[in-house]
Amino acid sequence: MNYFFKGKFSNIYILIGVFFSLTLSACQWPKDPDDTFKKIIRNGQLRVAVIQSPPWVNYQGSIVSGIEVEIISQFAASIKVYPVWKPLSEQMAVIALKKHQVDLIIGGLTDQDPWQKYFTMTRPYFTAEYYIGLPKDHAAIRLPKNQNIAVKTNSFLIPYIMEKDFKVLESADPFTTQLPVAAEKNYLIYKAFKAYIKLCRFSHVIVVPLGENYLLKKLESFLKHNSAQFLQKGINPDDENTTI
Amino acid sequence: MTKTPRSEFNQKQLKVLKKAKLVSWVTIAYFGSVVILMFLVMGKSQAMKTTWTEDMLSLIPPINFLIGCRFCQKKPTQHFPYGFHRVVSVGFFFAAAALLLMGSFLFIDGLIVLLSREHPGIGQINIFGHFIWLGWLMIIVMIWGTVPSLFLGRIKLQLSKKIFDKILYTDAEMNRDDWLVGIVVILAIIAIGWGIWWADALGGMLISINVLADGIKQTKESVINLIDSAPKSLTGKYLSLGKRIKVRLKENPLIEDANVKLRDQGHIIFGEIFLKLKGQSTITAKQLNIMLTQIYQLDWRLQNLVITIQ
Repeated sequence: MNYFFKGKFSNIYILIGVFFSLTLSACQWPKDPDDTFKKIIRNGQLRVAVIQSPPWVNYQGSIVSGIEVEIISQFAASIKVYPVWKPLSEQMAVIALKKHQVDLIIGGLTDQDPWQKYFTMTRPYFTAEYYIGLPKDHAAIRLPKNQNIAVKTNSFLIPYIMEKDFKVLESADPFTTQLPVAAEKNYLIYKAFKAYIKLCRFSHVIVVPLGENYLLKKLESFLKHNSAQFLQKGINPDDENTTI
Repeated sequence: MTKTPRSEFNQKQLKVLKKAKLVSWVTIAYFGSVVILMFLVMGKSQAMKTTWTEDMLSLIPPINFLIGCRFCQKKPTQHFPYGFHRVVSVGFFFAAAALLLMGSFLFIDGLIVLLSREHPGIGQINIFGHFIWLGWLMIIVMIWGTVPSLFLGRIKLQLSKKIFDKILYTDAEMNRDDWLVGIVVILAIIAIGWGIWWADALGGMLISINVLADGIKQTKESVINLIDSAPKSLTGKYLSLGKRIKVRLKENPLIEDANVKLRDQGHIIFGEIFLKLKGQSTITAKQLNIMLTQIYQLDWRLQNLVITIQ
């Protein structure tokens, strides 16, 4: 052990000790390299790029609504700033983020996003699992090949259903079709269905500028404590979310 | 060729060899754990990614050593009349070449990251319901990846000197230098916390330079060894053994002049001695054998000398 306490070692330990104590006394840890959070507070504005993606983000003209819109509105309120929504496509949102024109991006983004090397993502605040479900009181049966599965019109689940060798019936309200329904798991349960066959899963995230670790920390803490309330009923793309 | 297997080592050294093999297995298990843990926490930090690669490379020397041990003890065959002692030297070359290649790659990768000005995003991780900054976990894993390595390095250094194993010695030196890598990475992570984003890429580059420097040095040593240079000590200095043998031989009244050529064969040394006898004198086989026995006592590594009377 004497080996570790000779000359140069003790100097290094002192250096590390100094760093640690300075660290603990710092007011913002970890610090934003570009001071994004400080600028948000200073300007009183949280600029959010929104990508059309119901039910996460839904904008009609100047009215913006959606699950993630509600979450971020609450987050902005928690840090006492005013949210500003900027509708953009995903590519333009990423460019705007890089050029410091926006502070966050929302729009149903997942941890499999192909642009992820250009930004930092929060830990997933919700993992949506999509299943084929049958009514709760229905006896558990093995669904035959080419069975029709009801799904919302133009749903992204269609290719996943067809991969399982089933047929697809698109409907405005799949739950009235008397057929098995493909939807998000919590929503199936909400509609008194039981989830049987797993189709896919997506872990949803919020996007912050690359390396802005303090903003990331504040957002992740907020999401951890508050996001559950917005997702209790599961995801229904039809839901009339409250408008902001 | 004799039927009984010739062991390079004496009884005491065989015990040291056994201990060295055990330490190598422990090293493999240890670095295996470090690699797994680092993979889980490294996130987007370039310094951590470089250290992770370096720790994967640290698995090569102990595996090399264990393979070398298996082969170097095998007795010579018809197709391999000189035995398998040089497997150690070849293994050392492969390890050195791997370090050189990976060091170059890591350096270029670090440079690209630094020039592209990518800020490392390090968020929180959920541990049993508590959120802690991933950077702290990285530091803890780095400490685990550094401190035991120092102990292992010390043990291996002492063992390598007893059996003159270059692979083990180099491995020990690299393990001992790990403390510097640990300091660089820990400081880089703390610097990220301070908002100094470029400290991460810089730290990564410094570590890659360390790997590259090791790679260059070891490749050079290994190539020199493979082209049959005169034997060197573990630290890389040429041995004075050839001269000492020559002096010893010239003490014999029958010998006018002697020339000695020695070459490295892994743990041991083979060589040729060219004797010029005085005038018309002759030398008997018995006298030669006595002479050889005396010379073998100069260094335990001398194990196969051929005498040619000119």
